[in-house]
Amino acid sequence: MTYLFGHFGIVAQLAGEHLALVATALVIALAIAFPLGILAARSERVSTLTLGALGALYAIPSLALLVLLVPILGLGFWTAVVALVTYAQMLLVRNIAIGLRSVPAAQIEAAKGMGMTSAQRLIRVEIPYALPIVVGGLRIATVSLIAIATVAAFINAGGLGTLIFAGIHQDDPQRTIAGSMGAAALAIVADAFFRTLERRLRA
Amino acid sequence: MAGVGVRYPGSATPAVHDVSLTIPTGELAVFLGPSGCGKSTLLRTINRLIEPTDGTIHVDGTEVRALDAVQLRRRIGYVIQAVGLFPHLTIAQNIAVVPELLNWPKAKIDARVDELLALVRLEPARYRARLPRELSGGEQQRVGVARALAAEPSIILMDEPFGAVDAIVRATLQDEVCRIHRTLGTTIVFVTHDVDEALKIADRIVVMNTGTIVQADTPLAMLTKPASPFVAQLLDAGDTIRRLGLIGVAQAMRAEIVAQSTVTVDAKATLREALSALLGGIERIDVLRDGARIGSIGFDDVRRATSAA
Repeated sequence: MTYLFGHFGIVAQLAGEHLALVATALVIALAIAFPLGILAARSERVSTLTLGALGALYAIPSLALLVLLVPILGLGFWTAVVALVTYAQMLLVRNIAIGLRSVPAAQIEAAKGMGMTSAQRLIRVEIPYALPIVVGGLRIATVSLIAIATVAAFINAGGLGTLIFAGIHQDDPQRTIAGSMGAAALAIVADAFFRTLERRLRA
Repeated sequence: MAGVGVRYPGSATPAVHDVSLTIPTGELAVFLGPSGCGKSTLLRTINRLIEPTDGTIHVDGTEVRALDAVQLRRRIGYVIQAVGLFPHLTIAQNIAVVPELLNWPKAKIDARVDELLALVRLEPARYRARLPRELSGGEQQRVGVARALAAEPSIILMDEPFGAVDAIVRATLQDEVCRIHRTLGTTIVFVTHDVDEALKIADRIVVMNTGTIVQADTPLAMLTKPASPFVAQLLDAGDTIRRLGLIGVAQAMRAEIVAQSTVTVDAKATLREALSALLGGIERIDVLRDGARIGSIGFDDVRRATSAA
């Protein structure tokens, strides 16, 4: 604890880096996951294939994936982002597809019967209905990415992991504790934020 | 509709076969028949939710296939049993869907929403901002009807709209549909398997069985002159009591007035109500029009009218 209180500025700066890493990854991940989720919701075949492939990627240990990416992409921030985007896909695509499939048939029938095009149906009816479930996926993805992003320090991507690794290398448990607590605090805050958002959307 | 047929892929018998039918503008036509007779399928060919495999359909003189399906549907109101209101939109936004798709100006949409809420007897100020789940099933279907009317369609299609509400609410909603139909003069095509519902609201009943039209006629003609044993059985046409509700007191009464009758019946009522009043104990009761006695009706008149019909 002494390190945490003594070097609050450093911990806050690293937490900022950590958040930047996770937020960048989430934005990119959502941009990829939405089209994939929509396709997976429309077709059982696409769903099986996509979720199978993403499940396999999800199963790769994070440290291993980062190390495997380094020879291709080099060290640093963007390599870590690629890894985080990969992990988020599974959770996001699955929830987007489940959300879109849960739209009641009556709403689809009514939307068609009223003369909505399939794009209008998606934007005005299906996505709003699916949104709480999508946010649920986003919540789990965010918390996972905050945890996984600590490992990204191993390839010089910054963030709170820097403190954890420094603590390990220099035999200074105070730093490791400070980094871990910072990451845990971020995860708790993110979880609470998305939970509230989810509840608002359901209400 | 001319020679309309619908055959689903992989099905040996067509769902609808060689249906030709003209529904005059302003009519309330009811497709009646047992489940699986093709009545819903036929209804859904009108707004092209189902594309017929044979025949042609014209709406207001235009072949439906000549129009873009999406544009066509915006001109045709559609009400389904499950209502299908959008839960994330307020009642006002739900009603405004089609006018918005048609890019009506906002002020016109707002005025239209209030007008429609009043028409389906939901007080605009109270209901506008509510969400669908805050409404009862009956209220939701009122909104469903308002939504279908929103863009002033020339036709409204209703697919068993009141099948999911309880009997009392159903009766009220039937009255509302009849009232709205009389007020607006919109053509309504209504699908049901409920014989009493059909007899109550229809200008004309189209009885269907195994994908074809068996008989198309007014409710009274259908009861008195069923074209086949199937129709007679479906409508329980031998049941004279059923006819009572379809014949007006004005049609059956005599001009003579019984000065002393304290019980009276309105000329606009049906023989059902007249008989009910007569069963209260007297032979003849006076008939009122706008509060003035204009004639009387007795058991013999009721009997004559129901057997002659």
